[in-house]
Amino acid sequence: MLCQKCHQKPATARYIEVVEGRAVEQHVCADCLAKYLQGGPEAFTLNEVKPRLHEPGTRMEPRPAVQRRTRQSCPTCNTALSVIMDKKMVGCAECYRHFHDVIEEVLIRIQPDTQHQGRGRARDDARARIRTELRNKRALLRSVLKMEDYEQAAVLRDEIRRLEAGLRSGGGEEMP
Amino acid sequence: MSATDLLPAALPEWCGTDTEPASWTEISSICTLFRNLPDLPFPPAARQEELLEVTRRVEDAARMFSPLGDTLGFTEKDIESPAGALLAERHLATRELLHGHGPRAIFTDRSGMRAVIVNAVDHLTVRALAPGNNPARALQQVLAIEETLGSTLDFVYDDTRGFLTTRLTCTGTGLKVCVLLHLPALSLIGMPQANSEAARTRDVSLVGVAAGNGLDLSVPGMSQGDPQQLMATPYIPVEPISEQCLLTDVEGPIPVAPDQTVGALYAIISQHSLGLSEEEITYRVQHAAREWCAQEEETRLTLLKSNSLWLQDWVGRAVALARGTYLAGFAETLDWLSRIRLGAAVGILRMPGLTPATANRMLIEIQATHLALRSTGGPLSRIELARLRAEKLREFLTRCESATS
Repeated sequence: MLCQKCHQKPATARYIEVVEGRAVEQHVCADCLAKYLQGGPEAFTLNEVKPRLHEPGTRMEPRPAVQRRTRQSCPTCNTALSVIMDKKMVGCAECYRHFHDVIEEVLIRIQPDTQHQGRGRARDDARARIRTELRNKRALLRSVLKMEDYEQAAVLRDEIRRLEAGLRSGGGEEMP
Repeated sequence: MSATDLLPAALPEWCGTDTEPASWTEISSICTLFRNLPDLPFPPAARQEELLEVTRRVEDAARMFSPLGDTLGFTEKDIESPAGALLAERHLATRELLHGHGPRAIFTDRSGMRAVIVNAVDHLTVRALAPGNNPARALQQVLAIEETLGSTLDFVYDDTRGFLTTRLTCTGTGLKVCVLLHLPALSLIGMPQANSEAARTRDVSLVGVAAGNGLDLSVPGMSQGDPQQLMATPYIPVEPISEQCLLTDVEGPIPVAPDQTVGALYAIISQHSLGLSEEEITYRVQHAAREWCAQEEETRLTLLKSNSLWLQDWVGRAVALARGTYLAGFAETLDWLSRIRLGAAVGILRMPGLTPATANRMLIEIQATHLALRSTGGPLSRIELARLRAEKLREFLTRCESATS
């Protein structure tokens, strides 16, 4: 499980805090835990939208737009947006459409890209799957060459040639 | 299906077999694929009847196409019995399945290498294991199962986002890849601790492996021991029963910080699922695991050259403790096995029957449910488990020594 605070490192500790009378738990990495231990609760809050101490003596209120947005929930499964933002978990496929912008923001933070590069559904047509496979193999070849793994690169090059030949013999267009 | 039906003489093939020997450093590879059915909320937001509908649809598909060949099926009642704990100790069932609620199921094959889990975090969790550092083989297996199920089941898919999963960390390919490694030499010099950060630059994470389920919760299907007996024993070097196992969550082994790992076990886990193809994710994990193992081999040679006497002593003490103990805790047993394994790998320890496969099997056999089921079949206290574990260790060493090479 990734740290629920920085979403970068593996979570190695459980942090429990009482927020508005109920225990809220998060799995955090060693660095985020250390940040808490050094800075105290002011430097580390479980709930992203929970008001936190901004400067000594002042209290930063959540912006109205953020507050309004996090009170929303999915019309299909009733999952609250705050749950999606905190836990990075959705309740149904409709959540992806309904909270498109927020999910896009989260995906940008936790994934290298927001465009799917892998396989499609099994029932998609065979030629489309060959094209996807060809695209994936070319991307993999770039990674393999970057790591100077020439043996694997040679295997991939042969596989790419075979797939290209397959597409050509089927009379279809070749991928650019 | 009862737990004892799952206890054949041979353990899962990912431990290594005579025809496919395992490695001293690379233990196993796990690929897990997440899929959801359309028109139904995902398990954390679904109602009982919706979860039941998912179970029914997957059961029908599994019966029609047998994606796992000769399939064993387990319902939620089985999952809450020792059978569920046993499957979890074999890395087929996940922590989320064990601690879940409501209608859920798991289908496995008889080799103990493949499983289809229903209603854990996603509607479907397809898992395959492979011996050593071979996630590509496990990937082939999960994709083949998914393709078979996909001929009758439709999965939620979006052209931009790919497969839509409950956790946004799995959206896209819906794939998590993991390789379990044994790195005692690097652990001795603190390398994994110091370099776990560097692993992330390659889209993988290096984590330690926790004993138990990492939640301080009792494992369903496991006995919780006899409190009276615990009170009567003055010194108990044995952990609670729920910590006497090596379980997995949906991503792989339960992670801890590298310096808190048990038995010098580490896992390389893929970080991303969107923007990379399945093959690329798998390749990155495999490549990173290969690099860590190469470093481990180098460090072993250096240790052998510069600190040979110390290394002999370190391994020898582990053998002596393993031979002489009558109550063996889980973590300390893993530590002794790790040192024995290292001794055999570098040639300090010569036991004809000690091979990577037999050492891997011990990782499974010393866990609580396996010990209990192989003994009385009923619930045992943690002290009884520790006694059985010590017996198992002595028997293992005797067998390794007396085996003919």
